Amino acid sequence: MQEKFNKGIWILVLILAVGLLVFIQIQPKDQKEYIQNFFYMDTYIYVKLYEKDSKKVEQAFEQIDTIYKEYHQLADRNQPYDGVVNLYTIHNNSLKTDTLTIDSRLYDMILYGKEWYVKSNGLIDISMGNVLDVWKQYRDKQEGVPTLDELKISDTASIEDIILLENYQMQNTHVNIDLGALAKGYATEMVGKYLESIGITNYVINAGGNVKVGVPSHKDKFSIGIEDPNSDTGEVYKVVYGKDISVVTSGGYERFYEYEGKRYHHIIDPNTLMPTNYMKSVTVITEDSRFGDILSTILFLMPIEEGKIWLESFDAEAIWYTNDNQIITSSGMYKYEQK
Amino acid sequence: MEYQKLTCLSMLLALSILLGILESLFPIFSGMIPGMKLGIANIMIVITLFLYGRKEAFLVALLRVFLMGILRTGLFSIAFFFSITGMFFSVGIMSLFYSTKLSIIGVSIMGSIFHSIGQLVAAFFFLQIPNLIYYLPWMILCSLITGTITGYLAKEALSVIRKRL
Amino acid sequence: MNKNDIKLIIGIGFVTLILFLAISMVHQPDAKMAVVYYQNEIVKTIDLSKNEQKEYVVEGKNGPVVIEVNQGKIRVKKEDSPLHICSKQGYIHKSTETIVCLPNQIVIQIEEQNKFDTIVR
Repeated sequence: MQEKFNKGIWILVLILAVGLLVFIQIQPKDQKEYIQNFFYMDTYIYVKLYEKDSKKVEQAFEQIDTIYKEYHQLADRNQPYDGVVNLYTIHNNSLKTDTLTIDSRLYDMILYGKEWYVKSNGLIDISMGNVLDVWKQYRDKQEGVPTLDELKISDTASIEDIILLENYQMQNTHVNIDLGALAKGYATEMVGKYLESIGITNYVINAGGNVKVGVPSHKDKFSIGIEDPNSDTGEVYKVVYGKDISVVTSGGYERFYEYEGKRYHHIIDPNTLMPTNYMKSVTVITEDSRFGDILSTILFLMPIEEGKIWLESFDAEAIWYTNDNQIITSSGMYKYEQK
Repeated sequence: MEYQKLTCLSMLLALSILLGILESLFPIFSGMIPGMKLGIANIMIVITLFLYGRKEAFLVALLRVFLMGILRTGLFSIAFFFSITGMFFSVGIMSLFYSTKLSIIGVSIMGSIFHSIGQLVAAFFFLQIPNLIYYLPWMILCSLITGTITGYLAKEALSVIRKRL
Repeated sequence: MNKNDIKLIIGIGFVTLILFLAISMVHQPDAKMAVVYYQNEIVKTIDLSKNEQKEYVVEGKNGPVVIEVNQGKIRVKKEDSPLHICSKQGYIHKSTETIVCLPNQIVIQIEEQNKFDTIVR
């Protein structure tokens, strides 16, 4: 009996010692990750790659820089760039020709914008550059609010004035096109596709409110925190888990100004020409970043109940953060709630 | 089951529940270690073990958890599952060490420690907090002390009971 | 109490010592963040590196749970439960400490700030 007892104690100690060793082993080890930041489209862009070949990573970052830079230039409606036909050119050119030839990427984005005008019943209207300019003026001054007349007068163009033709040409109608609702998503999706084409599937891209992730190798899914609209220090109110997904947030807290106690942000309803106030933020989860970017804008511009119904016809999930600080999720969100 | 045994076991069960309720009124550990208790209710289980044997101890312990569940924590609530896991671990290890050369105090110590370990396992399972493992050494230390005290009380009570039976 | 009991106690004491040693070697993250879980899901993260005092409210099973952060420490200030065990626990600030509010199914852990792969803003 005594021997058994002694043995028992030793076995116990052994088990605990082994347990301890295992515990030390499973402490997180260092991963080979490469991070680079870019600044385009008024946004701080963060790209993290997990890859063995450092040469490949170098080339990848160079190409990513190029992709974002080119989309930035194409979608820039405030500045011309040598040798680039961009939105500024479309709006301000003094060419006598009826048609313009534009970059295929720009063409695709404008086409996408036009398609979504129809699909969103006018909530996505890329012809509103002038209206947005008025709002930007007030936002820069940080005071005053544009009158409805002011806004209506500036709204000289409509979606029908944007006419796309064959062979990547369009009518030279000088519309002040704004691609803010989709350019970042577009560029991010292209970067993701590029990475996958060169065999890098383990990546995290974060372009402001546009996140796209690939497939992690050291675990099952990536974890993506969603910023609390009430926090100014990056605190999170929910975490979603996924692979090969895009997570895009639209919120009134990104770009705004306050005047006489009210907040005026940058997402304008094409119908009222004013910023909306249906919610504090909405986050969309879907595969394609272009779709995510546009969908988050659309959902932000409509009341939550309407958005829920509207979302049902699309392959995406959403989380709304209401003005009362409640969280509403779409029915399929459970897919992204497990690690 | 003969009357005397039945009555005795019922008394032990009732006293165990009483002590359980009593100790919940004095949560002295609540600040320091989540879930730690005095464990005085365990005195009765240990007495049952040494008076009648393994099966009886298991029975009393099981009934105690269920009755406490009905009276206090809520049947099938999370606290209930914590209690049940703690109970299985504690009675299980005590049954194992009962036949060794450990005295009643030693057995009580093991029971106390494994009760805490059982609760930790339940916490891992239900709450999925890996960080709780950092409380393990504190739990073992406290269980060592409470186990010794309850073991000693059990020993004294047992000698009195044996004389009367 | 006999000899075997003493041996047991010494053995346990030894094991406990090793455990304490191991824990003291656990790496404390530089940038700390408090993570609040409700039913095992993250419902709030709080940056502890700022030394200000602030209160937050999260929804627990029995009602609102008031959390207070002060000088890089966090505690549960007020909650609805029979024994109020978790609000009596006081402040924690180390990654080896945890606050558990069982009736409200709220757990607060201290974790490293870069816990997520990324945060969408």
